[in-house]
Amino acid sequence: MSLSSDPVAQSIREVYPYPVDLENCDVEPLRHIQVVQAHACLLAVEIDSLIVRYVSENTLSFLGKPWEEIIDAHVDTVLSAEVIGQIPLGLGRTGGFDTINPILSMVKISGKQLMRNVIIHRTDDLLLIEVEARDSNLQTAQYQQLLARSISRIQNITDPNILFPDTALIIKQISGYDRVMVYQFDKDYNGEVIAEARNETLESFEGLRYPHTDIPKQARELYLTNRIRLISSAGEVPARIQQSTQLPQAAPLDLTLAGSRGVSPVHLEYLGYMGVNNSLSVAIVLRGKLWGLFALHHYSPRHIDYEVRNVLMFIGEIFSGHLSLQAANRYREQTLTRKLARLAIGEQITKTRDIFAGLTTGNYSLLNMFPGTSGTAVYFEGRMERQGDAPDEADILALAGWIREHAAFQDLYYESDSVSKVFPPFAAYCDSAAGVMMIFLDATHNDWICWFRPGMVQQISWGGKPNKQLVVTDTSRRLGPRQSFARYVQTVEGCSAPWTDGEIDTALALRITVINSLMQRYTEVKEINERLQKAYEDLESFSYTVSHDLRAPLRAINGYAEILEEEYGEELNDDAKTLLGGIQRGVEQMNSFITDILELSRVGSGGLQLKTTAVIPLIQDVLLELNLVYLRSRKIAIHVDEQIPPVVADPRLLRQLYTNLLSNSLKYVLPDAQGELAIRAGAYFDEELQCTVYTVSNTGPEIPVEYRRSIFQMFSRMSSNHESEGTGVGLAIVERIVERHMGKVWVDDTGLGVTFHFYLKSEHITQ
Amino acid sequence: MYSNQILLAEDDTTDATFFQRALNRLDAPPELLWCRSGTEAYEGLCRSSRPENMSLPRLAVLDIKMPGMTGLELLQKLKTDDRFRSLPVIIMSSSDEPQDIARAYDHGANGYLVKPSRFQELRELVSCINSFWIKTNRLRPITV
Repeated sequence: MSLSSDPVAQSIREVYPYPVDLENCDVEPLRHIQVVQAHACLLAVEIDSLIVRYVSENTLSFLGKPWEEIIDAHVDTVLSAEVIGQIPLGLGRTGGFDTINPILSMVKISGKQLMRNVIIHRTDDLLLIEVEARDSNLQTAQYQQLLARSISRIQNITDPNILFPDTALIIKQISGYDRVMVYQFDKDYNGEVIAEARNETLESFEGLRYPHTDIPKQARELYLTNRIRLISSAGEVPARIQQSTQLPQAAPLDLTLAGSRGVSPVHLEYLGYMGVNNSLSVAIVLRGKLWGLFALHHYSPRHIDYEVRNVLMFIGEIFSGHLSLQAANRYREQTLTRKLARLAIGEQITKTRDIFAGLTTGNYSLLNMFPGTSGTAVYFEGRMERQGDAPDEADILALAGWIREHAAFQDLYYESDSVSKVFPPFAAYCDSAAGVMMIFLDATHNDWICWFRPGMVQQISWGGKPNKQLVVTDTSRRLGPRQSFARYVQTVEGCSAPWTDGEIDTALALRITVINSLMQRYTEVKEINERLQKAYEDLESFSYTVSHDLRAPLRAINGYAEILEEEYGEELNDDAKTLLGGIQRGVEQMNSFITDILELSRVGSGGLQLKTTAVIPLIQDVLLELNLVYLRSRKIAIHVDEQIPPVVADPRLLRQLYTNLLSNSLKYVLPDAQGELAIRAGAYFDEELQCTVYTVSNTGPEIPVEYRRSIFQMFSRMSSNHESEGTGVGLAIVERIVERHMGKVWVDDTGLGVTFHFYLKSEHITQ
Repeated sequence: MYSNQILLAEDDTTDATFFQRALNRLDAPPELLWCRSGTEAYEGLCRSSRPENMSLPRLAVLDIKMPGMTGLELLQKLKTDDRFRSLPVIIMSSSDEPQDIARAYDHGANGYLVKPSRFQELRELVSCINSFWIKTNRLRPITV
């Protein structure tokens, strides 16, 4: 881009030694622009000799002498003895010339006595002496009053929402400028007009944003040294600085400290397009960094006296202090809120014993922990839960995978305010999830918590008129607020508000809280498991011992009764024989109890010998055995399906399983509607479970729903018919066997009337 | 010279009584030598193996669970001692655990008997034992 076509830029260009445009103005050496603005003239004199070595060409109107007569002359050629007398004072004081600026001076030009402000700065071995006109109407005392009042007004603002607009208004009242804006920089020095006070007829610039290139780095650095910057008249031609020919080497003069320092043509062009004639910027500095600016614009020429500028600079400093206090308060408040949220979440996890519930329910949740969060996601032990406007699960998983790939082992978190730039698949989520912060709950980065932030373009608007925000009407002009806004939008496309250090710290603290809660839970579960395991083992050895030890006395009772019957049967009458029979029946019953309990304890103990086992022969074998017991008196139709696939199981336990199921069916079989008794063993493939389900069915009335679970519990016999045989342990054994094979067993009213279904998932057994 | 005796090592009086009673039902019941512990049984066997009264029992029936020397320990002692190696030993236990049975045979038992819960069964078992071990079979003496 070139400036050559523009008349204003052209005139500046003549005195401006560097080719610049928007692309390179970051390196433009602003302090070496060898011109001064039209509102002042400048001399640079050697400290030792007070000989003038540099002088601006416009001395005639300020000092009444052409520059040619001043260069290489003693400074007393143009400045009064009173002014020169102040120089040693300025050099000697710790505060330097700032303590005496401006020095009031009178100059006689064409017979007229004129008032001048002389402003002196020291730069290396030179004194920079600026001479400006002084406003003769200015009452210093009046300004000091105004200053005092303004300061107390600013300091009385406690509501942060009105701090900026009110301060802008106060400054507008003091300065009389047409427009006063408060600019705030983000971390990349992109700017935003966050408040404004303006004449009613002017268009609002509030909400205006511009890219960091609009105020380049070296300009920002100059603001830290020289907190106020006046651009007096954008239209007037500046004065070139002449250099003494007697200097050994030609070197540009460093104008950092000179308030009248020439203006970059790029910036002048910018102001020119906005129609701004006079601009004054006051730095707002927070903790040594340029936080923002008060930008004052005036649309017609005006002179603003050095004293007034001083007052405004002072207000800027007071405001910076006030802001820093407010910022500290706000930071403390936010830290406190975040800490509170973190603790509440931790408590919620402990209370609910559920990491998901803890993080997503309750008054505080992940979603409201940080401002501007659009959505959150938690991934823990293979399960994901999302909150708010979070991306699709699969996309989040892909992102997590990418992060895991790129994260170092010791990384505790990942954050980005523009994740799509590094992980392109997220470009689709520029609106809702441009920024992401993820904390890892484990070293393998498998479990994590993450927050999403929306893209900024989604949120920003141009002066409250969102429809117009991206319309750039005049393309021939490449500078100006709208163009800046358009360029800004490009800059921040796909970017979210940044994750602040405070937020990252809080997220990491939450990480510790969550991990602690999890550890606590793990420890508890582990303890419970250990106790359970112990109790289980105790129970097994207990039932084994009990069963064996109970058998001996039982055998004794039974044996004695039998011997009594055999050897003395002749001598006993019928009543005695009946009683003896009662003893024996009781013993027999007790015996089957013990056998079953022993069986149950055996199911739980010992390793499984898994084998692919043919089911049909096993069923037939079991039936053969059971037939002897159950089929003596009744006619039961027994059917075994021809297609029953083999199953991987421990053959001994599988046999026990079928023995118990079939004997259960044989025990409880009752005639169906046709008066038939039937038993059937079969199998089917279940699509949902993706495995074969084996069934044993018998005729008879269905088992009421409320008993369908409890019949698998120990000693629960559904039948109230005490004539029924059985101990109530058989089905408990069935369930134990199935569980040991990672399967499930249930009963329903399908098939012949009562059907037991079971499947085994031996492949899931970890031994 | 073999006697017509069965040695029973059993600490439980009831079980011993049943065994005795079951034997009594046989036509020609052998004499039962009842020892209340493994130690007593071992000492008795040692005495009867002396040359002056060389008359070992025809069969030893040992309960596993006994205070002091258990049935299995006694079994091991007998089967590693040349004097008793040819004495048939039947282990008797209330346990039908396969590993218990296997262990007994590993130690050289000649039979394993699960104490039945019914006396009638015991009688049948004892009858079988009698006809196999006392009436017909006998282990070949090992001459060194």
